[in-house]
Amino acid sequence: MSAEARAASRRVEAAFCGEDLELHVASLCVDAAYFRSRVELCFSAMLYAALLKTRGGSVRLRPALVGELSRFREDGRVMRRVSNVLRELRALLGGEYVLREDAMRAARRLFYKYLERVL
Amino acid sequence: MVKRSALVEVRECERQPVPVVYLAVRAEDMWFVVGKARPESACMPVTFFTYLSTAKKAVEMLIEYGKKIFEFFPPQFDIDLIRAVDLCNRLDFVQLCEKRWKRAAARRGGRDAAGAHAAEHSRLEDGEVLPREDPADLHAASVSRRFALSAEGSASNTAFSVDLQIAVDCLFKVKRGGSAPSRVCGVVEVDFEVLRCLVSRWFSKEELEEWERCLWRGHVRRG
Repeated sequence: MSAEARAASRRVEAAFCGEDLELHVASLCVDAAYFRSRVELCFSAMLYAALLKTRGGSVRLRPALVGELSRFREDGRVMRRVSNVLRELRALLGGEYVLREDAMRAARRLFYKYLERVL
Repeated sequence: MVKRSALVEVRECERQPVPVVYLAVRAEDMWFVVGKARPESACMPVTFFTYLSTAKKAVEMLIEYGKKIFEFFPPQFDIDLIRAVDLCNRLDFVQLCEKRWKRAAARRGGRDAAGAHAAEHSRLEDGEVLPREDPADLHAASVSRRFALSAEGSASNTAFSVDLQIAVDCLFKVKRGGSAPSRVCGVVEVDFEVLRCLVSRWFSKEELEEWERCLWRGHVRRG
């Protein structure tokens, strides 16, 4: 992880600013090293951010929703951890095709669950 | 409205009464209730209620509020209830209803219809048996009980009725025979089990399942 990203993550986690924390973390996770070090937290935050931008009533939960993931396509470890998060999300939501707002709530719930683990 | 497993236990009430919020809607002579916790006599229930004309509207409203206020997710709702009030067409419940349908179909394969049906309705999805006198019945499945088999249902009581036209449409769809003739005969409802028995002569197992699924998408009604 770059020194800059490390400092920024410390700032965010220390402040625990609450509002838009998911988006703050999602922006930090663009850094590949940061993402690798906190896959679950990053993926849930980035998924939330991606869902915020998408339109339409329903979405299909899949890794492609988070565009930045393409760079980890070859990294089996990362993708396995991403799959686990997706599995957890699907279990929470009862399927793969879900309402966008439900998916956002679920992504946020998981984000805070993972955040607790990190802090 | 939600499964027991989705409810939390309020332990504070043992020490001192804590207000617990419920949302309730009265429709078609039934109460539909959603809340985060089971009703406990030691707690102080705070219930906001309203009246609506149909059970479907009541359930739909409580689903929305249940999600927004109590943070429930679709799998936590009682799918039997959703199905009973004909809300399986909702995007958030389509897959769950299908899963439920598949499970019911699998059970039907294994046992005789009456036994399977009675078992399905006396049990919550998470496997807990609801005692009949339990106040949580109100939460769990008031509608499904009403629509379902008078109590301990035999096959003859478990009347599923289907719109014949829809059944024929589905038959054409599964057999890929093009579109069915347009509706000309008015609405005729027929017994699902009888129709299924008839159709099963022409369908393979897979086709039969596809036909049932087609019917199930909001068209099968319990009479």
